[in-house]
Order: sequence, then structure tokens, then C-alpha cells
Amino acid sequence: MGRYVIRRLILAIPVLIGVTMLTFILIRVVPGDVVDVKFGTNIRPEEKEELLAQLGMNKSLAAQYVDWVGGVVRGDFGQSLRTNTPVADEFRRRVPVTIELALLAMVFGVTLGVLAGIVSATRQDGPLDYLARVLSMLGLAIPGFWLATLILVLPAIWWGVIPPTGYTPFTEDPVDNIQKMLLPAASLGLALSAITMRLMRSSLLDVLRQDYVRVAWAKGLKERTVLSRHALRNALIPVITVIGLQVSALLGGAVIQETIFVMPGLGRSTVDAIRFRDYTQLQINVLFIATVYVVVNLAVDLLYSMVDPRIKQA
Amino acid sequence: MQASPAIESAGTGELVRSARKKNVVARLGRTAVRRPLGAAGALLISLLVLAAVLAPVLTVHDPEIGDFLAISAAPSDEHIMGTDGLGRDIYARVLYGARISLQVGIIAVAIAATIGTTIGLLSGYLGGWIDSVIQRLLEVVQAFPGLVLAMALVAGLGPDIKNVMIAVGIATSPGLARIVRASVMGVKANTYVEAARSIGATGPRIVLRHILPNVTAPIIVVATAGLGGAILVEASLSFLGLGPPPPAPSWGSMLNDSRLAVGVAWWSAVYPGIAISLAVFGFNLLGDALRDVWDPRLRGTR
Repeated sequence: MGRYVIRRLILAIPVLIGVTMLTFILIRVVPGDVVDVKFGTNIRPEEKEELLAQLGMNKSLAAQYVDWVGGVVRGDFGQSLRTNTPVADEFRRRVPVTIELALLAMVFGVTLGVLAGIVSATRQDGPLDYLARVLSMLGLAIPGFWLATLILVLPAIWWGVIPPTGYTPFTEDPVDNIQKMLLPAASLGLALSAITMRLMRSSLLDVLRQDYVRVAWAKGLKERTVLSRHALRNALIPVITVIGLQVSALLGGAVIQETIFVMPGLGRSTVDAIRFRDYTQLQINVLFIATVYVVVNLAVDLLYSMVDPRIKQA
Repeated sequence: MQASPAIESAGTGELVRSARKKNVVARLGRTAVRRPLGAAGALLISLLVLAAVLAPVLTVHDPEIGDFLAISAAPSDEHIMGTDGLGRDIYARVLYGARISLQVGIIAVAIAATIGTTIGLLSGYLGGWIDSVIQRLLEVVQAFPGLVLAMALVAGLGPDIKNVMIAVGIATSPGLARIVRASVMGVKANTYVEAARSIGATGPRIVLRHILPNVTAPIIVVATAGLGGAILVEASLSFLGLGPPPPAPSWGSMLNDSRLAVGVAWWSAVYPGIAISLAVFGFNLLGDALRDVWDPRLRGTR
């Protein structure tokens, strides 16, 4: 067990280093820089050179990368190329919004998905099963941002009300905070609930055909006991893995939901950073998103190995 | 067994061919009955293709030129889905939008399939340290949300339909590479691969002649479902203003425009969204049906 954990941890290190490199290279090989975006053609070439030198962007890619990594190791993520304030400050202000949004979306998506999956699998080919399956297909097809747009547009037309948008910190006004979070979280979690439901259903159907479940029935246990004590535990394993993989989609989707619901989160900040070629801001944001993904999936793998002892030998 | 006169008079080759043709039609019919959801998906996709191809015939309005006397006009006989804030006919824009969605979807998935298949074949066949390195690299790329990756690529390359295709294709390819690799690992262990190697077939020949044909089924299954995903990413990019530039009638940018008309025109928010949903729905249904038929092992995965 210990050796497996250590091996997994070591394997995660090159991936994280790769993530920093890709983050760094991806946005720098693209043409146009912050000076272009800010000044366009209204700047003389020598002025531009000077500005780039001030920002440290006249060095080679490798030298810039080493500078940046050196800073990151010391906890210094650099100054925003757009506002000249430390990007870490902006990041700290915005990250709670996105974390809360993603967590709520995940709770919503997983709860709904797992429950619907259980209902669907235990009543295979019944009307509820078909209903759940069709709804899940729709849930996969309906873009979260369309749902969110409708949520904002339709009530305004029908009743002249616009649902609350924006963000209130939880510490300031918990009720207002939750109210403003619910709609974006639900539209963000929709696709996840559909994916979870489909997986939960097929996984539970598999498990329900296993011998040990038949034995549990044969012992005369109640449906509740068979499900909760014997079937669900095993059926949940693949579901957990896929939820780990979906973290990335959730954080990507947050970009759009934050734009629609005018929330000052990491996603909005990322879109702005891309638009203004604000490399340093983009780097800290994307590094965070990618690191969350790597860490969550590492945790899932380790959790998995604890639940299923066969994995350790692999 | 009754043989029809047409078949009796035909030569052997003809006979086999006509029997095969009949067989295909009959099988398609049977499949449609047994898998109504898959058939519904195929139907939706056919409608989508028809809308894209026949757009100039199905509407008299220009999708990019607005009528300034009919701004945000409600659905009527003249504009059956109404007009947007610039007086452009939404029905025409939805139809022409199918062209953009289909083009981007198909080409992006073709790019993803090419990259993904190449990487997956190499990684799965060669194994060893090359495989480990490729797998780590794929993990790195997959750590970025597809949308964020595509956004960064489009922002750099410039918002243009060609670049959207490239960005969506690249962002979709790691998932495909992993599935191809997994299938290759399974196929590689078969006796016929060993047999080919024992008669001295070279590596490239084994990969192209013996392994590739046996992993095409999962590739097609994943690519079909991936088309829906690619259409969604394109719509998301356009929604964020990173898709084909205006006035191109992309469904995503239509939805984005509609947000500016909050409280004015529900039709500008409803119809493009229905179009996106139905297109994605169609590809998902068909992908699911193909998966059940061709590759039961993938059932339940996404």
C-alpha cells in the first residue's frame, strides 16, 4: 500500500511540471502580446521594446520560464501585465467564488445523478427507467449556458423579473450568497448529473447481476439492505473515478457560468486574461485549475486502491 | 427458401452483391426497429444535414443582412422565428448556423481522430518507456479543461472558423488517443498479430494492416459521440465571443447576442438553443446506439 502511494505521488510530479510548461508555452507562442493589446499600433517600435524589457518579456522563452518558476517556488507569482498588481491578490479574491460554485454544482450533479441512477437501475426497462434515461440524454445535449441564458431571459419577459446575479461573499450575507449561487450551480451541474446517472445505472446493473448480490437476496434480506450494504458500495467505485475526471469539465464550465451570471470568479478572470494577453494572471489561474485536476485524480486513485485491494498489485 | 428470378438469372458475383445489398437494407431496418433511439438520432442528424445543405432553398432571407424596419420582430408569417436585435431573420440564421456547426464538428473530429489515432497506435503498439512518456504528456494536456485549452488556442490563433476547428480538434484529441491506445493493447495480444510477426511482417505493416482495422469500431463510436461534444465546444467558444467572427450565424454567438435583448425577444434565446441541443442530442443518440452494436465493452462509459 505504502509503495503504491509513493509511486503514484512520484508519477504526479512530472505531470505537474508538464502542466506548468504547457501553461507557459501555450500562451506565449500565440501571436500578440499585452503591449499590442493595450496600445495596438499607437506605439513606436522602440517604446514597445522598452515596455517589453520592463516586463521581462524580451528574454528567451526558457529564461522567462526559469524566472517564473523561481518566483513560484518562492510564492511569488508575479505582477499582472495589465494592472501591475500582484496576480496572487486577484487570484485570492476570485478563487473562493469558483470553488463554491464548482462544489455546489458537484453536490447537485452527483446527488441527482446517483439517486436517478439507482431508481433507473432498480426498475430496469420500467417507465421511470426510460424517463430517467431520456432526461439524462437531454441533460447531456442541453448546453449549460443555454439553460442559464433562458433562466435569465425568460422570467424577465414573462414576469418582468431578472433573477439575482452577481456575488455576495458568504461571510457577508449567507442567504444572499446561496440565492445567487443556486441557479449557476444548477446549470453547471446539469451535465454532470446526466453523466453520473448514466454511469451509476450501468454500474449498478452490472453489480446487481453478481453472485454475491444474488446470495444477499437469497438470504431474504430486504431490498434496502441488499442495495445499501452489498450493491451500492461496489457500484459507486467507477462513478467516483469519472467524477474525478469531470472536475476539469466543471472548472471549464465555470468560465461560462461566471460570465453569464456576472460572478467575479476565476473563470471570468481567465477569459479576461486571455483577451488582454495578461500572461501572468493566466498562468496562476490555469496552473491552479490544472493542479486541482491532477490532485483530485490522484486522490481518487488512492481512494480507489483503498476500496479495492486488487489495484495495489497493479 | 425461395429464390427470386432476378437472383437466379444473375451471375455468381452479381448474386452475392445483390444478396449483400438486400442484407444491408434489411439489417438497417431491423436495427432501426430494435434501436429506436439510435434511429431517432440518425433522423435528427439527417435533418441537420438537410438544413445545412438546403438552407438557401428553405429560406428567402439572408442570414447576415438585417431588416432595419423589423428589429427584434416577434415570430410572424414573414419571419417564422422572429428577428434578432439587428433585424436578421432567426430562422435563416439557425439554418445557416447548421453549416457552421457541422463543418466545425466534422473537421474538428477528423483532426482529433487523426491525432488521437496516430498517438494511440504508437503508444499502444510500442509500449515501454515511449508509452509511459506519451501517457504522461496526455495527462498534462487533459489536466486543462477542454474549453480553456480551446479558448487559449483560439485567442492566440485568432477567432476564425478555421482556427476554431483546429482548437476544438486539438482539445478533443487526448481522450481519443487514450481509447485507441486501450483498444490497441487488447488487439495486440491476439494470435493473428503474433502470426503476422512470425512470418516477418514489419512493425508498420502490423500496425496498419492488422491492428488499425480492428480498432476502427471504437474510433468511429467515440468520434460520433465526439461530434456532439465538438459542436458544444464550438457553441461555447462562440458564446464567449471566440468563435467565427460576426456576422457569421453561429448558434453560440446568436445566444450571446440574445442576452443583450433580455426582456425583449425570447425567440432570439430559444431557437438557437433548441438547434444546439437537438444536434448534440442526435449525435449522442447515434453514438450510443453504435456503441451498443459494435463495442459492448464501452457501454456506460462516456
